[in-house]
Amino acid sequence: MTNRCIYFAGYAYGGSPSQIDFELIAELSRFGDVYAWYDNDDLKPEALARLQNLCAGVHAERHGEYDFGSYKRLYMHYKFLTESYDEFIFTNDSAFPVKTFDALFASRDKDPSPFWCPLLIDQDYTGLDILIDDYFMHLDRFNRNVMYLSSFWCLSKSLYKRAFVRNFFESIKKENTRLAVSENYERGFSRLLWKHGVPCGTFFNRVFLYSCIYNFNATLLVSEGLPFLKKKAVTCEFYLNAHISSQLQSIIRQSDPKFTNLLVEEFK
Amino acid sequence: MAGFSHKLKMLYRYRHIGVLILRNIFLHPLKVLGAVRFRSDAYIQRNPDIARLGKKSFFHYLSMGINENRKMRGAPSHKIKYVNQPSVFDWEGVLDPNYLQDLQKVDRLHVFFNISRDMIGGGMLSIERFTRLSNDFFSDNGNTKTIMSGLPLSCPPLHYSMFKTALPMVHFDWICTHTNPKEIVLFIPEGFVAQFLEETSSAHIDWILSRAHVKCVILNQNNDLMPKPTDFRAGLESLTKDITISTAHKRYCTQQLANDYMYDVTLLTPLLPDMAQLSFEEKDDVILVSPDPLASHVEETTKEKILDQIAARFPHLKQKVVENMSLAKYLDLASRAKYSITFGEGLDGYFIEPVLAKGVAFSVFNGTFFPSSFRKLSSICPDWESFADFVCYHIEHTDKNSLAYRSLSDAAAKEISKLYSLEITLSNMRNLLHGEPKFTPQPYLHRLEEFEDIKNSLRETHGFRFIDARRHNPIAFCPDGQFLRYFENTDHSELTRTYVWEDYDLKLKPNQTYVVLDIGANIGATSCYLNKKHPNIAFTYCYEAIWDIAKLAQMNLEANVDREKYLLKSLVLSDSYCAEHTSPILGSSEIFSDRQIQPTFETETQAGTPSRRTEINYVKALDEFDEVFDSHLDAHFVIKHNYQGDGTVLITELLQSRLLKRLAALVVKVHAENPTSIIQSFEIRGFSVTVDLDEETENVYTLKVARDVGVGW
Repeated sequence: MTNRCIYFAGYAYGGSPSQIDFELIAELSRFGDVYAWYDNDDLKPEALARLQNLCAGVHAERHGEYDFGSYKRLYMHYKFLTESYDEFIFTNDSAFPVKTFDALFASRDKDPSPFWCPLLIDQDYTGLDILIDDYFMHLDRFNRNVMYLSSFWCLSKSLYKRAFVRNFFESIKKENTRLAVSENYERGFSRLLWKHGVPCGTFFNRVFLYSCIYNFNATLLVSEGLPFLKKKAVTCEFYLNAHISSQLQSIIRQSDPKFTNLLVEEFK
Repeated sequence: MAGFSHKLKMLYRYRHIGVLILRNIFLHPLKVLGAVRFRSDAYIQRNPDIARLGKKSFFHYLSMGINENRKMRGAPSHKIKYVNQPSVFDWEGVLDPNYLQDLQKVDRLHVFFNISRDMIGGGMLSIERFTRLSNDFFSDNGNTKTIMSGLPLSCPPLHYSMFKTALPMVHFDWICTHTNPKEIVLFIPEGFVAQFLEETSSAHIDWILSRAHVKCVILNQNNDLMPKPTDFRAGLESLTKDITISTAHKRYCTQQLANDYMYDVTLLTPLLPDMAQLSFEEKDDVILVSPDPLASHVEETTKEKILDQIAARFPHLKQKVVENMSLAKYLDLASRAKYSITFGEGLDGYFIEPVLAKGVAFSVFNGTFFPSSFRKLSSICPDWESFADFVCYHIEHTDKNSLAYRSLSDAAAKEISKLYSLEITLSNMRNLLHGEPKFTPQPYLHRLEEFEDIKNSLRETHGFRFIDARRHNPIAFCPDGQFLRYFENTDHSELTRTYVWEDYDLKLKPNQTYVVLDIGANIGATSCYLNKKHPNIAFTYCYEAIWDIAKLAQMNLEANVDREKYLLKSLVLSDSYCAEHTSPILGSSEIFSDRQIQPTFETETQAGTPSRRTEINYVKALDEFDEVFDSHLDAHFVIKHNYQGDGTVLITELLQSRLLKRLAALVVKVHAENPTSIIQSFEIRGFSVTVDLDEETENVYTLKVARDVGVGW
């Protein structure tokens, strides 16, 4: 049984996480100890109490450094826990849970790679779905906007303790733009992994069209076993989706009963 | 221009209708002429099933109505009704009245698309049998049902007049409007995949996408009809990611097919009909002839010439071409005919069914469809040129000889039984539906047949050979049997240094375990060379900062060194940690202790590699050395360092690291006016040092450092 430490970065609009975010944390807590950092100064007491029931540790402090600011703080604050866990997960509240995470973690447990995440995404990739090894073979990963999905990173203890990982988290600082955050941290960490020759595993062994996790492919990935759906795919924030209604129907049909009603409310 | 291109597109889209109309002009000229009296309203009144076509019913009459003996006017026929969407469906066969109602309640639907044209073909019969199999064995009343639909979607559903079907054909519109299953499996014939995607409307797509799970099976019954991946993959993958190709023939159920299409591939062998098995004495003096034209173009050989030759030799054997007959009539003929000749794909119904009926069938070996075991059969000819003589010879020897006849028939029947049976097809279907494919796509790096072939065939060589590969970089075959891909014009020096000058050739103690650090690995030539030469090298760390070069090193290491014995990192080891995003110009010049070197590096970088954005990652060498040391507590270390830049920084780091106490040997290029202090740093620690001046004007020295006698350079 893998002993997991799950660092959760959140932001509560209006001072309280949504119901489905609580369910997400509850689901994650089935697989490890959750330590949450909310980038809020206004977290309501009842929300805090509820989080404290679900999590091994909860912090709420406004820093304005996005999720990586929360990750940094969690990393620094809980250094003393390094030897207590086999694996460290960095995740956030950017997705709706649709299915239980059993299949996702089962897949993780079968993969010995020190770094693991659901999938590799390239928002500029316009080709046919391609195996990751072939993608790396034919395309220059350092000249493309490709990265491991930053909202769910799994690091084994040995990787977590590496000097370059320590340096990475310690170097996180406030950036002027969201783009800079993406370039330096989301993509930056993936590049560090490649440069250091760290074996990386993924749930999906393919690279899909565009940044599939945000577009019309997102629901298809759920059909193939991904247990969550990015919130931005539902709001079509980056991509227009003419068939979003049908796809959300599909999501409802696939959903685990404990999430179904909440998803219906969210999709309204 | 846009209007013209649209018209062209429409012409192309409906080209199949044009072909049918042309055919009818030749076959039924009077009826085509009679179409001057055509009226859409009268035609639709007479044939309500095509009401949706409206004015286009004229083209329906010309292309299909004539063949189906439809009347242009008069009262509608009550014998057969078709789907008159979206309302009630009626069918001539025995139809469970609850069938349609059940379809609307089901959880899982298997949708088989057959060809919505009233004709008969091997592929169509095969799909019909799969539909029947799914209906009989894989439908359970509560949860799963099977339905047959038709393609193209622009054609109405129909009732086949030449063979019976287990289920009625239901138009896809009706399915999308009236059913609501949680999961669907779409079985689409290979030649119609692209058309299906073209013709699906927004409503169809919405219906498909709103299922909880969609699986698509491409029924590959003839590999020659498979569309190119670029013709359909993008469209299909926007509907589902769960796509499998099923193949009718083992011959193309291959890893290659899976790799070409990037889909799982699995076998789904066709079911064979039950044949009446007549004895030799009961057979009629008939040769059944397939309707196909000659499968391949052959000089001076035509189907007619072959048949004429046989007819001249055996006038008592009546030749009967299979055309315009129902399935039942055809199967009866196939059972009674003494011989059968197929001119088509070979391993088709015209070959198999007569054999199942204890007859003798002749064909020419076709590598696409016949397994190689069929090549040895006496009834399979190797080529078309000798086919006429071949058939005559065997008829001569079996026409009056029941033993010889039976022997020929049984031999073919035995091979066929290895491929086809209900049990085999059931098992195939189960694997298909349960997601257990025979082949899954493999990435290119695992398909290095090119490397393996080359490697195997060149083990005996002793000298270099250089080959320009069609893709990627040229290949050097090395004297020690390894092969390396390299950059033309820039890496000959690396090969020369390694194999000719033997700069990195070292002596090691055979009973000692070593770990190599190849810093500035370039294309990995040194690492490959050392690993080949010294089996007691337990592990090799390669550091190559330029990613383009590191990729080549990766390929070379993959090809020449055991995977468990190396790790490639695209890093610069230096005296501080810094991650830079740079253009070809390097970042912080203070990383290098000798500023003079940098301009050289920039120039060479720009000349040697394409000028584009290059990211160079620097890490602190001391951290890296300590990490390596901790990972190999029992090994001794060998370091080769050859950067474009100065090696002094690295030496400074090395002298502080714990790795130094187990350093066995080191070779490094340094840029120093006077390397004395560096030399002394090693000598006072018990190392022996040899120094070569490489370039006097640049003060470049190669230092070779060794600890023990008998170990080193």
